[in-house]
This record gives sequence, C-alpha cells and structure tokens, in this order.
Amino acid sequence: MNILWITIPVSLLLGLGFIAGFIWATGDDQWGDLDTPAQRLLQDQDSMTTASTKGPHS
Amino acid sequence: MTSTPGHPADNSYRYDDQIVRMFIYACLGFAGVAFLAGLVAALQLAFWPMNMNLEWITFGRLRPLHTNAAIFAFAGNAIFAGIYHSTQRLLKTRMFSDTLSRIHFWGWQLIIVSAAITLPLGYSQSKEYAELEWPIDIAIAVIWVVFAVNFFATLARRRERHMYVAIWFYISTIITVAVLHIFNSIEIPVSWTQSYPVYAGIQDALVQWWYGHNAVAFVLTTPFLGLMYYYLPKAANRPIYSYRLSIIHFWALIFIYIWAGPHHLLYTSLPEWAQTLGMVFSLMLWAPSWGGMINGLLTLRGAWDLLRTDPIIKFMVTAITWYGMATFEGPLLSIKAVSSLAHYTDWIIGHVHGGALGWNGFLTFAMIYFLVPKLWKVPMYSKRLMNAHFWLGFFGILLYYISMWASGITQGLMWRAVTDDGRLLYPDFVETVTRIVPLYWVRALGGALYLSGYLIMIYNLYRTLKTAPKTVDDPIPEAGPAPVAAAHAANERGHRRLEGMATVFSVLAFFAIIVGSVIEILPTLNMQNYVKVENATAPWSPLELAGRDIYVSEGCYTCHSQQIRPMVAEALRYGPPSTIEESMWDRPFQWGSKRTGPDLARVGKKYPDLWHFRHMIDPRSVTPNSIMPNYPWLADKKTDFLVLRRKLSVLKSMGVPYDDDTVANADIVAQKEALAIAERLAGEGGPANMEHTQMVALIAYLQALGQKGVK
Repeated sequence: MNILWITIPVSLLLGLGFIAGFIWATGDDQWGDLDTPAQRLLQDQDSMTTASTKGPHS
Repeated sequence: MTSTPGHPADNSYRYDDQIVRMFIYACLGFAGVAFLAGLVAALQLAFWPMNMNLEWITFGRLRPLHTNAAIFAFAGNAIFAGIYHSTQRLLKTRMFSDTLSRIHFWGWQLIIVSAAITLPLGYSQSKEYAELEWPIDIAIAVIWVVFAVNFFATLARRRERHMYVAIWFYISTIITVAVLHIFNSIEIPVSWTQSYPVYAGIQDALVQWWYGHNAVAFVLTTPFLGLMYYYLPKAANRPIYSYRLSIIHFWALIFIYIWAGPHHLLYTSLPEWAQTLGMVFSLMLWAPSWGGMINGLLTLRGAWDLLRTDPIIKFMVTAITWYGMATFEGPLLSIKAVSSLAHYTDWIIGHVHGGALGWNGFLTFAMIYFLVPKLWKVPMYSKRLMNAHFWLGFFGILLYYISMWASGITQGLMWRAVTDDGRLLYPDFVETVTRIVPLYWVRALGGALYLSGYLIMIYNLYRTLKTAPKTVDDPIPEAGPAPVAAAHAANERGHRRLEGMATVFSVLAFFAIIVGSVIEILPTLNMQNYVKVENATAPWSPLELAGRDIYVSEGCYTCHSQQIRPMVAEALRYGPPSTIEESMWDRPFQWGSKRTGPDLARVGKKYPDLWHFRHMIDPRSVTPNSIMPNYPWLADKKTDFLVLRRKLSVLKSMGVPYDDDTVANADIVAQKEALAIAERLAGEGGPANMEHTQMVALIAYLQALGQKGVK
C-alpha cells in the first residue's frame, strides 16, 4: 500500500492546485459578475458574420 | 485563406478555424473505426466465430482497440475540435501558435495510428484505457504538453479578461489528464515493445483505477461539460440557466472526482478503508454531476419547442439526459451492496455505453452539426437525415442499455444463486453465459443502429460539404481590446515570440528530464513492504512469466478476472477470497473488470494440461456452448526464451526476489520447465514436441494461478 504515499499526495497537490486556482479566480474578480458572462457568450461577432443562411437554426 | 498572420500588431486578429476543421475530419473518420470495432466485438460475443480466426481482431485485442479508439480518437478529436473553436472565441484571440496546433494535431493522429497498429499485434500493457506501450506513452505525454503550452499561452494573451466557465473545464482537463497519464504510465522498458509497470499488485490496481476512473472524469466528462456550456447556449441562443451553479458544480466536481477510483475495486483485496473512501466520494459526486445536468436542461426553459424543430437541440438534450442517467447510476453502482451484484457483469458495460454513446456521442454529433455550417459556410444538406440519425442513434442506445441491464442483472443473480442446502444453483459458468447470449444479439443490433445513424451523418455531411465554397477565410472578428496580459509594443513581438518558444522548449526539456528521473528513482522507493515477509509468495518462474506475458498480450483480462471476492457464492464457485500476497509480484496486475468467462485466480491444477491445450485449440471440445474464441496460433507461435533474462533482470531491479543464477539462466530454466510440460502433454495423449510453443508457456502460467499463495 505504499503507493498511497504517491497517489494521496498527488491527489492532494492537484486539489490544492485547484484551490489555488479558485482563490486566484475569486481574487481576480472572475466571479464578481454572475450575469453578464452568460449573456456575453451569445454576442460574439463571429456568430453574426458566419451564420449559415438556411441551416436548421438560422 | 490567410495562413500566417496570427497576431498582427494592429490588434486585429483572425481565428484559426482550419485546425478546427482538421480535428472534425479526424473525429469523423475515427468515429467510424471506434463504432465498427465496437460492433464487431459485440458480434463476437454473440457469435464467437466472428473473429474469423484472425488473432489480430480476436476479442482480447479488439476490445482495447475499440475503447482506445472511442475515448482517445473519437472523443479526443471531438474535444480538441471544440476546444480550439470555442477557446479562440471565448478568449477573443487566435490560438497562440499555429505550429503548435499542427504539431498537436498530427502528433495525436500519429499516436492513434500507432495504437491501431500495435494493439492488434498484441503489444499491450493490459491496463484499461492505458494499454499502449511505453514509446507511445511518452509520445502522448509530449503531445499533451504541446497542447497545454499552446492552450495556456493562448490564455495568457487573451483579450477577454473574464474566463467563461467552459475555459475552467478545459483547464482542469489539461492539468489532470497530464498528471494521471504520467503517474499511471511509469514503467521500465524490457524492449521497444514491452515494459513492466513499477507498481505491482494492489499498488498497480489502485494507480490504474485512480487513472481509469479519471479517464472517464477528465476525458469524457469535464471537457464535454465545457463543450456543453459553450455549444448549448449557442445552439439554443439563450444564456445558460445559472452561471452561479456552473461555477459551484465545476469546483465541486473536480475536487471530488479524483478520489472516486477505488469504487472499481470494491470487495477486492484492496484494504477496506480505501474502498470506503472511493465509495463515499462516488456518492458525493452525484450532486455536482446533477448540477451540470440541471443547468443544461433548464437552459431550455421556455424554449422546449426547439426540441420539435431543431435536431441539434434534440441531440443535446438527449446527451444531457444520458449524462444525468449515467451519473445517477455511477454512484448507485459504487454502493458496495450494488457493486456486489453488478461488478464483473454487463451492467457496467451498459453503464459506460449510456455515457459514451448517449452523452459523449450525441453531444459530439450536436457540436459537429452546429459547427459544420459555420466553419464551411454552407447550410446542412438535409434536416430529415439529421433526424433520421437522431432516431437511429437513440433507439440504438436504448437497445444497448436495456439489453445490458437485463444481461448483467440476470447473470449477476445466477452467479450468486445458492440452493437451500448451500450449493450453487448454476455451478456451470457456461450456463450463465448461454442464458444471456440472446441479449448479446440485441446489444449488437443496438450497436448496428447507432453505426447506421453515424453513416447517415457521414452521407449528410458529404452532400453538405460538396456544395461548400472551395476556400473559406478565417473569420475576422471586430478588433477588440488589447490582449489582457500584453502591454507589449509592436517592436517587442519578435522577443515575445522567442520567449514563447523558450517556454515550449523548457517545458519539453523538463518533461524529458522528469520521465527519465522518475523511471530511475521510483523503483528503489517502491519496495514490496506492504506484505509481511512471512506471508510473501514465490514469484513467477521464468516459463510462467513468459506465459503470463502472453496472457497479458492476448488480452485475456478483457473476459477473465483474477480476483475472488469474499462472498459465499464466489467461495463456492472459485475458492477462498484472493489475498494481497497472491498478486504482490504481478506487473501489471490482472484482476480484470469483467467476467465474460469465469474467474481464473485459482484455476491452477484444476484441470490437466491436456484440458487446457484442447480448450485453447477449441474451447467447445471441453466446455460445450462456450463462447470463447479458438486460439490455435498459440500452438504454432514460438516462445521467446532469450528475452526472459532481460525480463527477470528488470523485475529483479524492482525488488522481485529472483536469485542471480535464475536471472542469468532464465532461458535455460524456462526451457526445462517447458520440456516437462510438453512431455506431460504428450503423455496425456496430446501432440508431441510442443515445448517451444506459446501454448506450453501459457499452460505453465494457468497451472500456477492460485498455487503461489495457498497454504
């Protein structure tokens, strides 16, 4: 079972990395606005310039 | 098409859509391979001669080809197509480097092709979804690092400061897959085509399923959730139901998933606390998984009429529904009591195909139907054919799922049925197999429907692309703000570029160093101290080891387990429960995950050598109605005795107690053992002079199973 000396630290490190990512993201105000991002997704110019003409969801 | 100017100085930019088109082509092509391999494998279980007596496509070798093609070629290329397309748009920038994108693309396809060549040839490590041999493992790691560098460098020069939730899913995918792949693939080469893992027995089992479950989590779940969060709102043209929920369930999901692996090892000789850990985390997974499903489905609130008119939405909603079902069933199956019935049966096969065909397959089809008109600037040829594809696929999955449920529960109940006087109700294993063979036909029909739906999609796409304009320019979005991180003037570009390349090279160099170091250092740390000295079992003899490697190479583990669980019915059928000690030298471990045939942990000395010989030539000559294929080539192919010296010395370097004499003369020792078995075979009325054949080595191994640790 000494493999746990590898897998548990690696799992914890990965988890700590994710916590660090979470803390960074919170500090970076990534979650400061929870409404606009969902809307902004729909507004990129690419979808307007390249929309298909007669596709099923045009 | 303007190919070069990735990032012109005036802050205008173009998306690289060519790379997306390339990944879509690859995804579509390899989907056919994955589905066809799956259908042939399904037919082989219903009708054993379907291997057409070809060793290369016999089930044990075809099954890894099918799973690898489905996961890494079909789903993998789909993920890359979606990530390359959506990331550029979400970050409002072109991918960091077109060169890295192309290295990633061609490297990945080369890996897939080498898998498609080596797996049928029997070069396999037998670790599920990580069967590929060490040179390919290294190639995977390198290409993955190329992808990571390209992705993170793109992230660094994004124009949109906020990272949409899909990007978070992609980030976690890239990081975690790298960690899992590298740690699960630490192995010592014996030759260019074979290696032994540094982990043995329960260690190997734990690392493998830590990897194996997270292959499901971080290849088939997190990236696809990212794709869902981008393409579902796009296709429905409405924002995701709750951005807040997406964040909460993202962090919860990735925190919890990494611990769930041991639920593949319930009731094995893995220590109980580790099993419980795996079970508890698996149960917790239910909540964040359903968070994603609910968020996806509720996005369509007020727009459910799209289900009637838009096949893309139909594919997506069905995919998300299957995701919900599979992630409900997963925690359920992780409960020890449920696992005791379901483990080793077709229920698990049904479960994964609900996820793979329903969630991954349908979401991929939706994404492709969404992307093709945009990327090629042409409407789809036929909406009716899209609907036909949907319904064929839908009923294909239903037939698959229901038949495997029925088959798994039927067989699980038959295995455990005990009469009032304490005997097995169905003592002949083959009885429990013939009962479910009709369901194997139903499953194959389901697979055939799914495949025909795919063929309709290919035809539809072919007709669509025939009318597409010959060249499509990369789209130019309106000039956005300057890259977030880059306050660099235009004249610094050359320097920036150099910096970027330096990062690439240093990461690659670091990786090369770490692989070597780990391979050198780990074996010394990895001594066998989890078993008490007085309980230690004898290692495999040289000939048994040769036979074991044939067992591994033929993929016997795809149908036979070597792990008896501590349950009454198992003890009656197979003998006392397996112990830690019995697999302490096993590199790789061969516990298996499916019993299409019986467990083999204690098959040694149960039958005479000649029985095994006849069984391998034609299983039905000793077990009527068996569905196992014939293995006549084992009686023709020669055992490689000389390589045993290397094999033993590699194993000895990892702590297996071979004495120097045995290592130095491994081939001679093995040949003596082979001669003894060959004479016994001839004496029992079998053919003479078989001592050089793989058959004899395999018999030596089978006869030693369960004989090492039993007092």
